[in-house]
Amino acid sequence: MKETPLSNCEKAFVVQAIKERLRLDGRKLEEFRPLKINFGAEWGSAHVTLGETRVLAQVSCELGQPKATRPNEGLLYINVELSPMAALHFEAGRNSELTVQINRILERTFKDSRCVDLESLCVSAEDKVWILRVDLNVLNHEGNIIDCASVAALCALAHFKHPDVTVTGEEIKIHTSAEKDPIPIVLHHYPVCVSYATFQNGEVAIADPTVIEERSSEANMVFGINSYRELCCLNLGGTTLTSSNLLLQCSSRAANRAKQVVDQIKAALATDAEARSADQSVGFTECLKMNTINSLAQDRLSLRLRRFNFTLDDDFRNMSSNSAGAPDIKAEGDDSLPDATRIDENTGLLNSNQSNVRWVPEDSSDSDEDEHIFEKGDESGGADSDDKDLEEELENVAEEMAYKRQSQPISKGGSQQPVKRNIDNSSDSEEETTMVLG
Amino acid sequence: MANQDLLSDQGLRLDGRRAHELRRIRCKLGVFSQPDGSAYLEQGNTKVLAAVYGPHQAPGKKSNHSEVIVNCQYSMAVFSTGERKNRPRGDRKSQEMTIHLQQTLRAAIKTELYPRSQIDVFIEVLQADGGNYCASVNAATLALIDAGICLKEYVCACTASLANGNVPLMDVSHLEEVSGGATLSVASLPSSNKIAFMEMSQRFHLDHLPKVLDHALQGCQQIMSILDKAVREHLALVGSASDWGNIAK
Repeated sequence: MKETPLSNCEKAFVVQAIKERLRLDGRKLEEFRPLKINFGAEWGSAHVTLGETRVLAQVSCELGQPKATRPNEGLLYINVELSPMAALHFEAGRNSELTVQINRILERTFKDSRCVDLESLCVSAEDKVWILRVDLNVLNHEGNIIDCASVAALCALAHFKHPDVTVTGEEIKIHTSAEKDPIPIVLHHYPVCVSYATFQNGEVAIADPTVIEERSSEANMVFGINSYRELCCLNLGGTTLTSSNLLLQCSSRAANRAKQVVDQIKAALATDAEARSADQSVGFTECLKMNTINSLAQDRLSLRLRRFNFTLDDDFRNMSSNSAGAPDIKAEGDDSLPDATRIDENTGLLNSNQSNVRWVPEDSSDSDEDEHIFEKGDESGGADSDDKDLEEELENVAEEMAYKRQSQPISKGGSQQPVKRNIDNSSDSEEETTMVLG
Repeated sequence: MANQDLLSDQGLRLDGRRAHELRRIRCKLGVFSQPDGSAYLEQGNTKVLAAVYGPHQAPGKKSNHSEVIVNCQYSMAVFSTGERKNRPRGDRKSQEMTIHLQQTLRAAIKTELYPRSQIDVFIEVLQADGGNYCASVNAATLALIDAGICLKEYVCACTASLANGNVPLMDVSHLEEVSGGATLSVASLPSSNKIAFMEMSQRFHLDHLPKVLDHALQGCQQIMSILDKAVREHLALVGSASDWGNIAK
C-alpha cells in the first residue's frame, strides 16, 4: 500500500507551528518523548518505547565460520524489519530505502565503532566463532524509528549472554545454562542514536521528530554518539541545506541526551539484574501488569496543553472551594466520575487512572499571563472584557453620586457660581443614575 | 594505533602530500555522446564516470507534480577494488551510497523547475582509492552542468580525517581511510557555505568535529574553484566552434 500523502495544509500547519516554537504534541523544540525500556525473560530481548514508537529487539547467536580476513573475530549482524504492523505502507520482506538507511546507520553505530568486543566471541581461530544477530522488529511507527531501534539494539546486546563452550581437541561442547553460567557480551562503550529534524531553511532543529514532523521537515540529522561524547556515526541529509553552526550546536545537545539515555539503560539493566537475582518474575508479562506494554493503556492524550497552568495559588484555592459554580473541572472530577481525569491540587498535575496521561506544568514565562486570565475569569463569574465597560460606567455613576451628596451641603452656604455648576452636574448625573438604575 | 604513521615528522603524508592538500583532480566534461550530460573525474587514484539522462517524463506512478524525481545508480566496477568485487551494485553499501547521492543532488538541483519529470544519474567507479562518495558527487555535478540542468550552485564534496589525534587531514586516500581513524565526508554548496549532506563513521571525539568539519569545507571550496575552471575551459572549447571563445575574451 502506498503511503498516504501529506496534504499541503497539514504540512504548512506543522511548519507554521514550529515557526512559533510550538509542536503538535506540546513538547518544546528540544524535548524528547519519554523512553521506556523493558526486558524479556530470555537473555537479549528488549522492548523499547519512545513515545508511541515501539521496537522489539532480540539477540541470537550461533557458532559459525569467521571471515577469512579476520579469523579471530566474531561476527555481528544487525537487521531491522519494517513490517506492515508498524505502518501500513511498509512492505514486508522488501528492502525499502528507509530500511537500508536505518540498517546502515545502526551498522555504522554498532559495528564500525567497535562497540562490541568481537575478539571475545572467538571460540577457535579460523574455525568457530560466535555469530551474533540482532533482529529489530518495529512494532509501531510514530516517528524516529532510528533512536528507538538503536536503544533497543543496545539494550538487547547489553542484556544478552551467550552459552559457555569447552573445546577438547576437535570437539566443541556447548553448555546449557544449567551446566555453566552463560557469558555476557563485552561492550566497550554504549552508543545511541539521537535524531533531529530541521526546519526554516535549516535554521531550527527539533529533537525526536514524530511522523508528521519527519515528513514535513527539510532535512534530518542523526548522531550516533556515546556517553563519552564520542561520535560514532553521523548522518545528515534531506532536501535542504544546513549551516555548520546548527550542526555543532545539535551535536553537543545530542551528546548530553546520549548520556541521559545511557544512564537510563544502565539503570534498567541494573533493575532487571536485581529482579532476577531476587527470583522475582521477569519478562514482558511483568510489563503487562505494570500497564505499560498493552497498547490501550498508552498515552491517549497525545496533545498536551502547554498554555494552561493548573498550579493553584492560595487565593484561588480558597475562592474555588467557597464558590460553588466556579471550578468546574475539579468539582466534576472529584467523586462523581472516578474514571475521569482530574487536577491534583497540590502538584498541579492532571491525574487520571490512565497512568500516563498528565498535564505538564508550564514554564513560568508564558504561564503568568494565562493564570491571570484564568483566575479573573473565575472571580467575576465569567466576566470577560466586554463587561468591563459596564463596570466602569457603574463606578463613574457611583462616584458622581457621592460627589453630589458632598457638594449639596456646600452649595447651600457657598457662592453662586459653583452652585450653578454643581446643579448642572448633579442634574446630569441624576439623569444618568435613573437611566442606569431604573 | 597506526594513526601515528599518517603524518611524518616533516608534516608529510603517506603519498607525499601535506595535511591540507587535496589530491590532484583532473576532469573532463562531455565524454559520452549518448547521455544528455557526462563527465569523467579523477581525484588522485579514484576514478569516476558519471552520466546524466534527462529531464524526461517520469513514469506515472512515481511522477511528482511539484518537483523532479532524482534517480541515482551508484555502481563500482568489479575491478575497482583490490579484491575483485562480486556484486557491482545492490549490496547494502552501494544502496546506501545511492541514497546519499540522491539526497545530495536533490538538495543542489532546482527541483521545482522540472515538475512531473525525472533525472537519471548513473555513476560508475572505475577505480576506488578512498573518497568514492566525494568523487562521485563532484563528477555528478559536472555531468549535471554538462546536461544543462539548473543547479542552485556547485555542489562539491570532500573528506577529512584526523591524524596523530589532532591534525586534520584533507581528502583522505584509501590507505589513510583504513589505517587511520574516522573519516568525515561532507557535501556542501561552497558559495553559500551550506551543508547538503554529511556522513561519518567510526569513533571520534566531539571536540574535534569543528576543526575537521572546517577542513572538509575548505576542501569543498578548493574543489569548487577547480570544477569551475574546468567548466569554463570546456565551454570555451565547445563554444570555439561557434566563435564563443573570442566573444568571451
